[in-house]
Amino acid sequence: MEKSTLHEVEHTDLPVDPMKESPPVIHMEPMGDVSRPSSLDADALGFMCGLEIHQQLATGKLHSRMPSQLYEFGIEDIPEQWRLSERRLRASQGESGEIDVAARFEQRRNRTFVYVQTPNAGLIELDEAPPLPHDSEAVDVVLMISAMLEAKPAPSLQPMRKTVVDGSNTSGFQRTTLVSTNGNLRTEGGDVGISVICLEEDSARKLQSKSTSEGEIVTYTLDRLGLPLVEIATEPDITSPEHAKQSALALGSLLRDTRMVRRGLGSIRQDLNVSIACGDRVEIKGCQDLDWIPKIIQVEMARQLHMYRMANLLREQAKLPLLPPDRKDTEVTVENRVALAARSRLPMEIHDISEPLSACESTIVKDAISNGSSALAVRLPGFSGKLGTKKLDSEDSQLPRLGRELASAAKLAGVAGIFHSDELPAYGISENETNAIRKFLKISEGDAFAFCLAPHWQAKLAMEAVIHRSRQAYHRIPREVRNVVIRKGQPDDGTTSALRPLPGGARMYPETDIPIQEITTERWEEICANLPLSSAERMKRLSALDISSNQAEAILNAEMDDILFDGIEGELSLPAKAWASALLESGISNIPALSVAVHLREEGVITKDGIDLLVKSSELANPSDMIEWMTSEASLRGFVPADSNEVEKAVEETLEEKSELVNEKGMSSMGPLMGVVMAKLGGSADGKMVSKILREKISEMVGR
Amino acid sequence: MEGWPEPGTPVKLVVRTWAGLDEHIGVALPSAGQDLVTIKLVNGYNLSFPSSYVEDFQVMGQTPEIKDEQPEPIAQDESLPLVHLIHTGGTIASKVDYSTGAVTARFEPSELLQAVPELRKIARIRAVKLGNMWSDDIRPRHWNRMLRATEEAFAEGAVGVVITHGTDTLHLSAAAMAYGWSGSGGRPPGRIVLTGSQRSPDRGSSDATENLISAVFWAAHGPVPTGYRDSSVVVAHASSSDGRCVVLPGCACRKYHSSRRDAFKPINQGPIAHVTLGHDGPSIELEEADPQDARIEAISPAMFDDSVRIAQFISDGHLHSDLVNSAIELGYDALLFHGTGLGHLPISDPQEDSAENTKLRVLMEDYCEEGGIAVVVAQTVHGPVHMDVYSKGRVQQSIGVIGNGSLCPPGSALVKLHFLLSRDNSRESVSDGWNNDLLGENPPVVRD
Repeated sequence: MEKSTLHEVEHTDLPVDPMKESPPVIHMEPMGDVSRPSSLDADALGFMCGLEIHQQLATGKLHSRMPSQLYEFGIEDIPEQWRLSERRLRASQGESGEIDVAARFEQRRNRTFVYVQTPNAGLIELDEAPPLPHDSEAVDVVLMISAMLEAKPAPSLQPMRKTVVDGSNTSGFQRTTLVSTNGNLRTEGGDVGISVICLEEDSARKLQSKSTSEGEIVTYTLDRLGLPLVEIATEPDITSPEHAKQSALALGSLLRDTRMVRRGLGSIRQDLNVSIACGDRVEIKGCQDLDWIPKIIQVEMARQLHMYRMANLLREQAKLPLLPPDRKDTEVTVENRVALAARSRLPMEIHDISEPLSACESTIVKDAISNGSSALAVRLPGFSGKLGTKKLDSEDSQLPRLGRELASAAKLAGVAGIFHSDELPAYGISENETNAIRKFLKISEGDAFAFCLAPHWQAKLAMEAVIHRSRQAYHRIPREVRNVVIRKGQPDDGTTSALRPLPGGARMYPETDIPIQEITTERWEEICANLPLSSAERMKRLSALDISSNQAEAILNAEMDDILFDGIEGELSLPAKAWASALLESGISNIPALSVAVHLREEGVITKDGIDLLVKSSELANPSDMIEWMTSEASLRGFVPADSNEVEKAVEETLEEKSELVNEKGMSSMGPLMGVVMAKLGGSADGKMVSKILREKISEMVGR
Repeated sequence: MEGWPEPGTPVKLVVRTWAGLDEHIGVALPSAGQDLVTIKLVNGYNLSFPSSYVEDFQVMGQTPEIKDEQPEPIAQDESLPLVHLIHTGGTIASKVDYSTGAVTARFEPSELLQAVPELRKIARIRAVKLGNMWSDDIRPRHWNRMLRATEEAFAEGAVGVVITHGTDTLHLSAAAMAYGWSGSGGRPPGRIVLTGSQRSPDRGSSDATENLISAVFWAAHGPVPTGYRDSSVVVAHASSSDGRCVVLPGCACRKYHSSRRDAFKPINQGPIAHVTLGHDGPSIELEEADPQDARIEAISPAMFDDSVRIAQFISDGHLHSDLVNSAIELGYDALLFHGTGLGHLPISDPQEDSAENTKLRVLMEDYCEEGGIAVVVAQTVHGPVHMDVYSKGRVQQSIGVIGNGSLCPPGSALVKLHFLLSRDNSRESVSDGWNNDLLGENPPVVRD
């Protein structure tokens, strides 16, 4: 364990492209007010940002031939006949034969995973059978996206296994395949390079996470596991928080142009890679709402700046060499020295403080201790006042503070949170008890402490995490994956919490169950020759038609424009307006029948009312058969438009019967009489014609 | 490709793709296929290009020295019982080389103890590498080597032996251990456990660790073997879920699924026990079993005669007498038929339109009359062979086909037949042995 506490400066055996332009090193102390994140100067701070987009494809599952379908249910209403499997994941040894700290930590969390087997989850989703080769339609879509982004395709697909330890993949890894590299995305704010485009499996959906004294039980449903996702990672070419949003929008609309992506909530997920020169790369997950992207980035810049300043404050206090303002100037030897110093200042000593808490009146504390939880604490020498208390910045987000980082590290052990001395007395823990704890821990004024209440093993793990994170406070912020803090389905205030250390490429190795698949030149060329129109091109095409702009928009939004043109340009030569209205009203469930019905209506063979019913009951495939069937069916069911003679006759009859009404009300008897005439004609009449004739006849009567 | 550097060397590759030139930085890997150039990119992906696509490449650094570090030996608790871990190969012992992605078999005791530290609290482990083969390549001579290794383990003071084995024929080797030690009425000096894995240990979801922990726990702390049903046991996942393994009689179980974790099931009887892997470590729950007379501890196992050859046939509309006859002419020592239903063969021709059935009957009559050994088992796997129910069965009995009334599962039956032939290859001896319940393979009652 001790080995891992040394500061791990990122070092890789893999070479860096010497030709690649890297931004200049910043030597000036970073400027800026962390309480006004929107005022931070991205350029001056050495801001770097890239996007990673995961978009579900509208094809079958990637490696199992199961349908891609999501089921609406919660933990309370899992259908009884759906089977559950319970699994645990075990960290496997990495390349060096050593299990990394994160994985070991994960293992000690004692998590159990329960998987709900939905009807579209079989043995492959359950990790009980080997996977099948890629869904070929999904491959085509990703090749299409690659061509649209001007990326260079790999000549063969080699699926890889990417280790995932949170249980969201039953196998313990995610299958992912590199499809193309080095593309380009055009945005208003300038070109953004695309580094890789991959085809991967989506993960299982979390239904619930429950803490027990034995560890956490996480329930996942397998419906989403294996859905194909295209992953698009950009180069860190994004120049500002606003540009990040623009790029996300541009990528999103390009993906929708393929018409082969899933739509709706959760079908696209954006991750942000953000750093400033004095901080380090952090991956932020959960930026679904694009409008929040600039804010989330600004808040992260403020956090990195604050933590950099905090590290130097701690170093100054400990008379250690300061961090240089740019991470490129970081010296491994210095960092190792600081790491040793931090380790000796913050030894891994965990204390049971149930004694000083024994008289505590706080219900949280009393309940926890009576439930058999332990109260474990750590000393944080020199940290008093540096952990901070909850305060908002001038833009209504929580100000960055070390205390929150410590809590977020502890929470990964499954504890609800921690108490630390900067925010005490509070939560029913009085000044007296706070002092008693201080006395018990033998700490002085400049020192802080933190404690938590949980089953002993869990509290111990949480406190170890707190010590580790406190030691890291002496260094540059850790490279990690963070989650946007969500409240009621919305980002809370743009702040984030730590999720896990940033994974390296080392967690990837080949998926040996699937052979390498060659992509032929013909396949690539065919895809390039059939690229979809962009939405602007589609709109332009629609605007040339005789339909309203509202209709055009609605048609485009529903992705029905190709069908619209097929009808107009097809054998039946349907008039644009009528065909568009029919599509928008009736939908696309039976296009051949709908087009025939619209055609017959235009020819005056069937009534408007007849369209829906006839389309619904039509099962024929051949248009000429359908015309014949619909014509005869229309006359059988009375959907043939009445001719004007019949209508006139019916109107006259009605007026004779209801002459009193007409005499009394005059023209305003139109309304009630309309219904009577229509009923007489039994649905076969055209409303327009009836109203015209009725109006004429009444005005004749009234005028008489 | 000429000049392509050693695996592990940093390299820059320029390739011609359909969309123009592209550059990749990474490390060289061994080729992933014929005429392919393979590199691992910085982001971890492997990429392969036909060598004709390669425009240029540049070595960008030194090939790192391969550090062949010997793992430090791990001190073991001397107060714990000794268990020998006999490695034969299979998925359970595979390991991924993350730089190349190749799955290799490595099996050093300290490596294993490092990977599964829980074992250190259960037993003192001595690892023995007997071989490294996929189980479908295992032959009866390998059974003998395994028997020898168990004998040596017990002689060295092991209380139990765990044989790690590929799962495909694991049940056959398990049966071989049982017949070898208890076929003649004795009991092994210690516990013999066979285990394997259905998911390779490189993945977090592998069943290997739980199977291994449960197997070692049984070997170290299970009940003393009676020599009946438990001469050897198979330990594997009890269901698709983790947390519980089943202990099955080695003489009456088999692999039932090509890929599921709970592939192993008992046949015609229940399991012996379950091992539950709780938060505080493993624990054993024994199933109820009929009381058994004490057997005498065997000093050494009986070996299988390596020269014995058995021909097996599946009984159905494609079974022809000439195929059976060629086995007879080639001098096979016995014929084992996997009969339909209660144990039937296609030997009658009620509609007088299938002369091949009559030919097979005549062949069987001649073969048995000359002392040939023909045994029938149930291809249904479960349930008894019962040749009294239909007249067909009675005809088979009168011909001299052995097997009526046996509950011995087909896989175990093959090993039993080999065991009997190794002792005495006369028809009478095999027939007598077949009707007996040597070690729990042919129990007196049908319970399952």
